[in-house]
Amino acid sequence: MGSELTTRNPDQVLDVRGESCPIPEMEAQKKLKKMKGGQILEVLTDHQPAVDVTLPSLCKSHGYPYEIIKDGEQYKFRILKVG
Amino acid sequence: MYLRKVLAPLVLSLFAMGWYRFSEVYIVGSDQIALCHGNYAVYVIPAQLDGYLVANLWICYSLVFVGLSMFWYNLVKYVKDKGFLTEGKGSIDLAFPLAIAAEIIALFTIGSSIIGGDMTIRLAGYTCLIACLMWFWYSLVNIIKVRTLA
Amino acid sequence: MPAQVLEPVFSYGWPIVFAVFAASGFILGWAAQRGNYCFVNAMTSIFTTKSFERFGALLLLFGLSALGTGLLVATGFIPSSDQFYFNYFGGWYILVGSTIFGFGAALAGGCNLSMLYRAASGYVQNWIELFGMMIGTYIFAIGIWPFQLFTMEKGILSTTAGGYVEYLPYLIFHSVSNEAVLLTTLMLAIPLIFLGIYLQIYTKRKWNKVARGERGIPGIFAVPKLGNSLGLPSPTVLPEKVKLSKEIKDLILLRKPYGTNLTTVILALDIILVFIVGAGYTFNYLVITSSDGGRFFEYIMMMFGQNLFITTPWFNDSLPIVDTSTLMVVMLCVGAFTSSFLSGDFKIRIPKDRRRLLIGFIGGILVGIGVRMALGCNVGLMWTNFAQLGYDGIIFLFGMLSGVYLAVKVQERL
Repeated sequence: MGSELTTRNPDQVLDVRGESCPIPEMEAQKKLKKMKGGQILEVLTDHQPAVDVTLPSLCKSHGYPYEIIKDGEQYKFRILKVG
Repeated sequence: MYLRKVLAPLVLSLFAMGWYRFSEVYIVGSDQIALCHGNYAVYVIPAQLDGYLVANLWICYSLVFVGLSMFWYNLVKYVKDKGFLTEGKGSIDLAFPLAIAAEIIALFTIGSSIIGGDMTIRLAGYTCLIACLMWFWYSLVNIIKVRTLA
Repeated sequence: MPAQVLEPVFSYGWPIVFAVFAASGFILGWAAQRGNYCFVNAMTSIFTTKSFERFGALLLLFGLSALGTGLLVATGFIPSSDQFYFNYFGGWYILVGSTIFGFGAALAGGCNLSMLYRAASGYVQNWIELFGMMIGTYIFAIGIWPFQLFTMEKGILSTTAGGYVEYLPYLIFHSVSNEAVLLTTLMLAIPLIFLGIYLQIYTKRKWNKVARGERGIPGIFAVPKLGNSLGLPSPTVLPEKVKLSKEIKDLILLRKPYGTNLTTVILALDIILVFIVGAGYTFNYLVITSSDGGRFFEYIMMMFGQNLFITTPWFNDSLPIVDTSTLMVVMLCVGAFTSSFLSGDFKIRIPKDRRRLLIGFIGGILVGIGVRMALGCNVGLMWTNFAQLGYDGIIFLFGMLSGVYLAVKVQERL
């Protein structure tokens, strides 16, 4: 699952760099709602708490697998929508 | 990124000085205006205003000191990481404790009016100063050792 | 009728009071930044993901603060007047104001606490929100305050006084005796603490259930692969003692953010510190950031030769030119800056989507109007009022929840 999240190109990209909580979580939730099962959402963020707390909690509450890729000073938070 | 790390502490020190100066000029001035207009909901009694200024002055000294220390620390890291002064890099190790010691002396000289004869604060200052000098000697010995071995 | 006078409990001068309040502001900024403590975020996650763990922490904070201050009064260490003296008026404006505040804060991306510590950590969005809040305070001062004051004076859907009138021990037992305060403290704090802990456990159990695939999602495990992605070595199993000491070391060296519950305990201890030190001197609770939003606008205008306290409603009757909360707010920002700088998190960040700046400004204006109507923000009114054993905080909590809910719904359509 992890390798798929790393290797496959994301179906949607959400750029919330420069934004702080609760925006990354709210916007990601909004995007995920519109996506189909099996698609990958990549959230671009430089807000550490979103990576540490809010986006993982979003994934945990839905049971979506996720992967965090650090890219310089920003993160690519990849979420696989399931179900 | 390096620029941010070097400049941000300087901004902190400047902010602390600016804030104290603002309080001294504008807040004290406005308090007088409030008194002249008889606006006692806004006016602050002298004991309270003086307390504010004294606490603010102490905070200003501490922040300027902390800001300058962080500035020095990051400047040294920056210079080292960039690989400048490869020949004389030992001089930075020597300059750093001296800069901190000079800061402490400046802090106590400028702040002597409020520190007065308070021995606890003076003793803490002397301890820091001695620690800086020991740090300086340690760096000096290290440099001499390295050069002798080389 | 209980005496409504303030007399210093301890005999130290104003410099010490100001210095301790400044230090507590520093602690507040530092701890909130390290723990990413955001009241709005705690509420949005209820409506977006039905997660209650951060909201639970918030209730725990209110419960611990009420328990600490209540026990100090009940044991006679601090007089009850120091707990109820700064209870403000209660009325329609708290419900309306907190709803507007919750709506604006969720749109703009930060409550009054997170707005300040994030502004100090370099988030331009929160600078704009802060500026919007100042403008909102001015709009409130000239457009709403005269009307609101009228209803407060006439008692239209409002109490006509604060203080012991809104003190729960007095309302329930018609007394401010130590026993009355003790019983009220236990009645308010214990359920809050238990509910807070329960909500955290409930959310974690729910996550585990989902991870085990008990909700029809077979074989899905939400496992982060951060270690490998970062090129870090795989973690090895460490004994418990070593794990704990490593955890503490990481927290001290700012390598790891504080957990929500650790931050909760630090913040509760912080409010208890100022409750004791400020007793008899001043508003002995944590920052009145909303008032200070107005005050800093007043300070900016001073530099242009305008004294709002002479010419403008609210500015002329609601705020002393300087008080302990001024230094507390300044030091909150300094504390947040220092921790974000030392942890390497400090960076000037501008949202990629420029529309967010406009939304932040509008949200900030609503925050300014909302908090002034409610006579305080999520810290200076809601959290504080739980520690004051009043009921305004409870009204504010429900108002803010409804405002945040509305914002989440609007955000979905934006």
